[in-house]
This record gives sequence, structure tokens and C-alpha cells, in this order.
Amino acid sequence: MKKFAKTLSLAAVSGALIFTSACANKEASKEEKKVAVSSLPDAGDFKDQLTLNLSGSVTRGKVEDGNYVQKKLEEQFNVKIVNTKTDTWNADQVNLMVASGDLPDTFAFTTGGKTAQELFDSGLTRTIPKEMLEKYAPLYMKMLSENPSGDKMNLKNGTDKEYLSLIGQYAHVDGLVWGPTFRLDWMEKLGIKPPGEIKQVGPSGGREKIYYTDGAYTIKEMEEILKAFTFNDPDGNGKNDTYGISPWNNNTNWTHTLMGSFGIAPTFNLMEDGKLVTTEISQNYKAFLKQMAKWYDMGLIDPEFTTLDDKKSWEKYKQGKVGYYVAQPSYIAMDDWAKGRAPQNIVENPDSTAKLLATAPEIGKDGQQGEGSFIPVGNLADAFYVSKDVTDEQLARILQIFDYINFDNDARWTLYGEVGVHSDWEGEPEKSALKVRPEFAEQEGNSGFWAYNFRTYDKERVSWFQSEYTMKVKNELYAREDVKEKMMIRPYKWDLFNETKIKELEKRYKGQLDTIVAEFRMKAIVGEVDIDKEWDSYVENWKNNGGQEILGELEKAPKASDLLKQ
Amino acid sequence: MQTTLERIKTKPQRQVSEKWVRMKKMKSLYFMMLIPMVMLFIFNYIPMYGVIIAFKNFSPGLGIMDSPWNNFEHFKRLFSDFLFLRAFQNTVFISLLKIIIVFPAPIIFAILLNEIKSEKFKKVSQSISYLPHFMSWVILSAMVIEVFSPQRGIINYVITIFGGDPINFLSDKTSFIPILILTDMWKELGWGAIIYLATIASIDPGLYEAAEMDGAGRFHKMIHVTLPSIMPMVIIMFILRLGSVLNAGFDQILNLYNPLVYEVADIIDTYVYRSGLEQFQFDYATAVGLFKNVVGIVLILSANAIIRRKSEHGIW
Repeated sequence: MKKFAKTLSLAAVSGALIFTSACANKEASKEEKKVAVSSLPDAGDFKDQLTLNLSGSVTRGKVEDGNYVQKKLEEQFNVKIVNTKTDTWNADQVNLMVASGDLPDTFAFTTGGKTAQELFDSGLTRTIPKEMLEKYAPLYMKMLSENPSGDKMNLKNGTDKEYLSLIGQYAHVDGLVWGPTFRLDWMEKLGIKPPGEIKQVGPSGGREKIYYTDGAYTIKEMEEILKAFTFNDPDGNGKNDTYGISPWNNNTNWTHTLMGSFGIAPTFNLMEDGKLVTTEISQNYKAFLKQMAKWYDMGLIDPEFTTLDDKKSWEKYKQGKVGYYVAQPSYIAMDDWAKGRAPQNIVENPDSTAKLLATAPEIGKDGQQGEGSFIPVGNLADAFYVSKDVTDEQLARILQIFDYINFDNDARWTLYGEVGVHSDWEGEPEKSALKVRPEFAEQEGNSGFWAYNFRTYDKERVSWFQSEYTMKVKNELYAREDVKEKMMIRPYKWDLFNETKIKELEKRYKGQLDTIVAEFRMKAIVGEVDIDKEWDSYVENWKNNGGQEILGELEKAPKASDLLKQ
Repeated sequence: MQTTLERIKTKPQRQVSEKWVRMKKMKSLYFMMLIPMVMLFIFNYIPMYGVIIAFKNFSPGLGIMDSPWNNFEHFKRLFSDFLFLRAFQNTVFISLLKIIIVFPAPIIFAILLNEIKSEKFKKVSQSISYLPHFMSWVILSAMVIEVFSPQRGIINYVITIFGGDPINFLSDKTSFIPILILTDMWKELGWGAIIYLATIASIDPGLYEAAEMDGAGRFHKMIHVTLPSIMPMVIIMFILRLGSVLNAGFDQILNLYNPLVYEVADIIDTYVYRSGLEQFQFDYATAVGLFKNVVGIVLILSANAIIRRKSEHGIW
């Protein structure tokens, strides 16, 4: 038996070694060859057919071979497109693809926090020469030049002519992403006046029950409203069963505007008494926690929030027992994708008598108002990568396709097909959103819409998918120029060009730090810890578990205000 | 004439040839076994080489073999992280509680089921007890959250009827662990009893008849016949359960816990999920997995050795 076990182990080990040596990837060559751009075909010269394995930002593996967009692109650029059949939104599938190194020629999926530099250092991606971009992607280069620091982002360390990835324009998240909403029908019953002139979001479909105003309540006024919502029986059922706020436990989206009234934004950093600190260890954050703890103690916050995630919280809101909730512009405009989400889910039922009022963010005691900007600096985000095995010839063709489908608005057909054939305007032509006809797949499938595109939108593109009502509330409130100017909170420092080791450190310590912060936040709000007494040890703990190292690296990063000037 | 020494020398050779003859006779069966053996080797043993990334800074582009060694960095990180040590402590505590409370439950349940006279009632009870096993913790957790809800839950409804204040059980450190244990027992009780019911069914009826003739009642037959007869199976299951002592119920806890109960409920798997896998740190997660496996195998081997010394039962 022993002999058998020995033989078996030996066989296992030798088998493993043989397999290992056969499968081991050769280290990616780090030597950079200078691309002879002049020897590559001219822009528009597609005489040689090339095969490209493409994927985009929305690839869910549902694309059908020979789809409408594929055929047209193949014809226009003389390429043979191999479709990516992996769901790039599925973390497991993506992890497997990245770990095996078997990637499509282009990809834009989240790779578990790996930076562009790390992907390149891992030998998974290639660089994109600036010269090639100038030759083959002029619209993209124009977009970069129009955005602060755009042409300096994603450069390979130590170079100014090689990009590690391409970047997207995020006009769809321009302005305030979240804003407070109140139950207007409760306010009317309780005799609470709106903070400004109110307007209806739309004429029908539930939108007639949603109003908005650019006025805002102060935190003090809000406290009185929450008290009335909680204790004055706003739903008139004779029971004390309503709450002012019902937060949730799996993210901090519910805090954005409330923190804004203390001049802070989650995960950002700021200067406090001449010292650089992150929000979560700042005195303003401490004050925010104390405010929430006070409200919890007063009974204004639903105590069940500790066990509810955001989705369960939406369900709870729909039961009509909560008066305050945060919402994105698309929620209050009742865009299709936001259906079922609170707070608009309360008016979805045609028989619902509920009414909502969206206001500008709450105003803090020192006049602070706003929220953290979705993109800390500028308007550019996301990453579009090119795999390591892509040749210069292939890259030239990829860049021309990329430039056309993502930055030339004549390529609207790659997202919606021909208007009148594949899609229709939801309302007024060119001023409302486009809706794909039911016989065609909205994304991928037989139409191939969105299958090869990157998540990058200028204002015109945003208008194709955001309803006219969303555009209206954004123009008049959430993304109005003076609102953005006054209310967007930016970090004090930001490593926009990946010049520090912050990402590396965050990867190393994020689990620890997030745990420390989440635990303290929850315990502080529900009164399990005395915030004043425990604060110093919490901060100390945060610093000792990697926080101090991160702060040290942050010191080396440029100021966000300087970056915005560039 | 053979000397004694020659006889000793040739004995193993004779055994080998006898074995070979037997194997040749059953060659078709061995051939059938070959395919699963090869599959087992390919899919279960060969991939094990990947465990070396626990000692490396794994880089997908470089592959497993070419990624650089990191001087036990992941293990140093594990044991210097107070949150990991807390998670380790919680894992062991929850797991031991489950072994003490949940492990015997299916045994008792199987013995009690065996005592039910009505076959119909027995089958219905069995089927009902299996049901929760087939539901994922994603669904069950929603049910548990509703049952223990401070506003809608039946438990708090009863508490308030008697004039008490609602309790947020799932956010309370003292009640969270008992809820974990109870719900785990509820989910796995019926399914876990199957193996014991099968063992009970194989007990020689003659033993019961003999006990009856000796004047044993139902209780005494249960204690002196049923229980000793299923004891070898109980021991095997116990040893195997010890091997997974560092698996305290990832799905269950992930779906039920919240930051207020991290202090008692954050186990190795949930902590590594948040700090390792979510951050794409396969190498770190592998180091944790390796650590858990080593602890598991040490426990299995030790328990088996101890039990073997005290009784004739055991896995090997």
C-alpha cells in the first residue's frame, strides 16, 4: 500500500511538472519596439482584410455571429470580426479570462482593480503610440485635448508618447449624481412648505406625481421634517409606524448629500488644520456621524437599516413607511432602467396617491452643500485596453473602428440602428431618447447594438439614451452650471497620472480599512460606541492598518485644483 | 527441500503473483476504473500545482511558474493582520459550536425518525425536513431576515404582544451566533440524517429481537442497539467534519451578516472575500485556502489517530 502511495505521488508530481512546463507562459517581452507609423497603411486604407476579436463595455456574451452591426463594420473596415462570447460583467468569467491570459484583442471590462500599468507589466496588454492615435483616431485625440489633463492620463510610466489604455468621456454623470427626495403628499398633509418653486417632472406615466425644485432645506429644517414624518402619522393610519430615513448597509450612496452638508464626500481627502486627511478620519466626518447618531437616537432612522441592503431597502420604501430617500435624476424621471428602484417605485402604480419632491442637496450649518463628484477630477474615466498580441497593423484598424463607433456621431447606428427601421424616438425627434424596436435585440443579440462600443459619451450621445425628462431635470437642477460650480466636492489631492503607489497600497489594505470604517460607522450611528470617546482609537487603528501609508503616498499626489487648471 | 529462509523470501513474490492473477481475471473492471482514475488525476491532482501561487506574487501575464516568489509575504500579511486573526478566532468558535450543537442533531433526528411507527408520517416528516437543504442561502437569508425583522418578524410580534420592545436580532452580537446555529441546523437537519437512516436500516433485526427477549424496551433498544450500531458511521462523519473546521458557513454568513456583527461573525472566508478576491488577489486568497487546508488535514489526521488508539473505528 505504501509502495502504491509512493508510486502514485511520484506520478502526480512528475505529471504536474510536465504539465506545468508545458503550460507555463513565457514572460512577456518588455522590450519596446518603436512603431514605424509611416510604414503602416494610411488612414482609410483597408485593402488587406484583418481578423479582429473584439469586445466592448457592455459585452455580456449574448452577441450573435453575423449580426447587423458586425456585417456593416466588416464591410466598412474590411475586417473579419470574431465575437467575444464571454459575459464580461461576470466577475468569475472575467477573472478566469484574465488569469488565463486568453483575452480578446480589445476589452474594457473591470479587471478587479488592476491598474493599466499592472496589466501592462503583467504582459496582458500592449501600449498604444500617441502617433498612431493622431493618425488613426483624430476624434479621440480631439476629445482628449478638450478635457483637462486628458492627453497626460494613462501614459506609460516614464514616457509621454505611449498610452497604456484609452479613456472614455463620461458626460452622462456630469453634475450631481444623487439628490434628496421627500414624500410631497406627506408634506402637504403635515403642512410643510417646499423650499422653493416646484415643477412637475412630466405630464404622465407617474412623472406627474414627481416634482422638483432647486431650493433646499437646511439640516436643521430637515430634522424637523424627519420628526414630523416619524411622529405625526403622515400616512394617516393612526399608527406610529413611519420613519424619516431608511438607509441601507451595503454602500454609502445614501450618505452623499448628507455628507455634502458637512463639506465632505466618501473616500475623498481634504486638508484639515493644515494636515491631509481622508474623509473617514476627518473631524467633519465625525460631526456627520454624530448627527446621524442623534437622529437614530431620536428614532428618525429606521433601525432595520442595519440588515437591509439597497435592493431590500427599495422594497421597504415601496411599502410607504419612509419619508426621505436619495435618488438619481433618472430615477425621478422614471427612466426604464431605473424602474423598481426607490423612490420612484412608490408612484409606479397608477393608483398610487403618493407624491415626491426632489430638492437640491441639504445645507449644512456653515452653508456647505453638495456632494462628491462622480469622477474626482475632470470628466474622463474607464479604460479600453488592447491585448498584447495585437500587431501594429491590427491596432491601426482597431483605432479607426474605435474612433468611428465611439466618437463619430454618424455611427449612431452601431447603438440604435437606423431610426425608423430599428428604433424610434421616444418623444420629439432628436430631443428625446431612442428606443430599439422589440423585434431587435436592445444590446448585442441579432442587432449587435453596443456590442463593440466603449463606454464613452459626449452630450449628444447622452441624449440618445437619457429620456427628455432626465435631461430636463439635469439641465434645470442636477447639472446646471451654477449648481455644478457651487456643489461639486472634489478631493484635495488626486493621483490622476498614477505617479504614486496609492493603488497598490489600496489593494493591499482596502479590505482592512473598509472593515474598520464600516464597523465604526454602523456602531457610531446606532449608538453602540460613544463617538467622542472612541474616535481617537478608531483613527489610530485606521492609521496603523495601512491608512498612514496611504496618506504618505497621497501627499506625493498633485492637487486636484491644479489638475483641473491644466 | 526449501529452507525456512527461502520460504520467507518467496512469500511476497507468491503474493504478488497471486495478486497479478486476480487482477488479470478482473482486468475489464480495472480497465473501467482506469478512466475515472485518469480523470481524477487530471482534474484533481494536476491543478494542485497552482497552489504555489500562495508563495508568489501572481501575475496572469507571467503565468504560475514565472511569477516571482515573494518570501512568504502573503502568510506574513495574514498573521500580522488583526482582522484576519479575529476572523480566524470567529471561524473556529462558530465551527466548534456547529460541531457541538449541529453535528449531533441529524443523529438524534435519524434515531427519532426510526422510532416512528406510521410509515406515512415518517416519510412526510423526512421530506419536509429535506426541503430547506435544496434552497440557497440567498433565498433562506431573506426568509430569516423577515422572521427576525424588528417590524414585521413573527418573533418580535410575539415579544411586542407581551409588552416587550422589538429586538434587532440580526444586528445584535449576542443573538447573531445562536441564529446562525439554529438556521444552519434547520437547513441541514433532514439531509444530514439520510446517512444515519441508511445505517440504521442496515442493522441486523436479530439484535433487536435478542434485546427484546432480554426485556429491553424501545428506549433501551435505541440506546443499546441503534446507537452502538451507527457509532462507526458517526465517528467517520465526525472526523470528516473536523477536516472542515475552518469552513464555518460562508454563504450563510455572507447573506446574513452586517458590519454591526463583524466582531463575532466575520469569518476567514468572508474577510478574504472582501479583502482578497474582491481585490483580484488570487495569490493571497490561495495562501488563505492553503492555510485552511493544512489546518483541516492536520485535524483529520490527529483525530483519526486519537480515535484509532481508543477504538477500532476510523477512516484509515
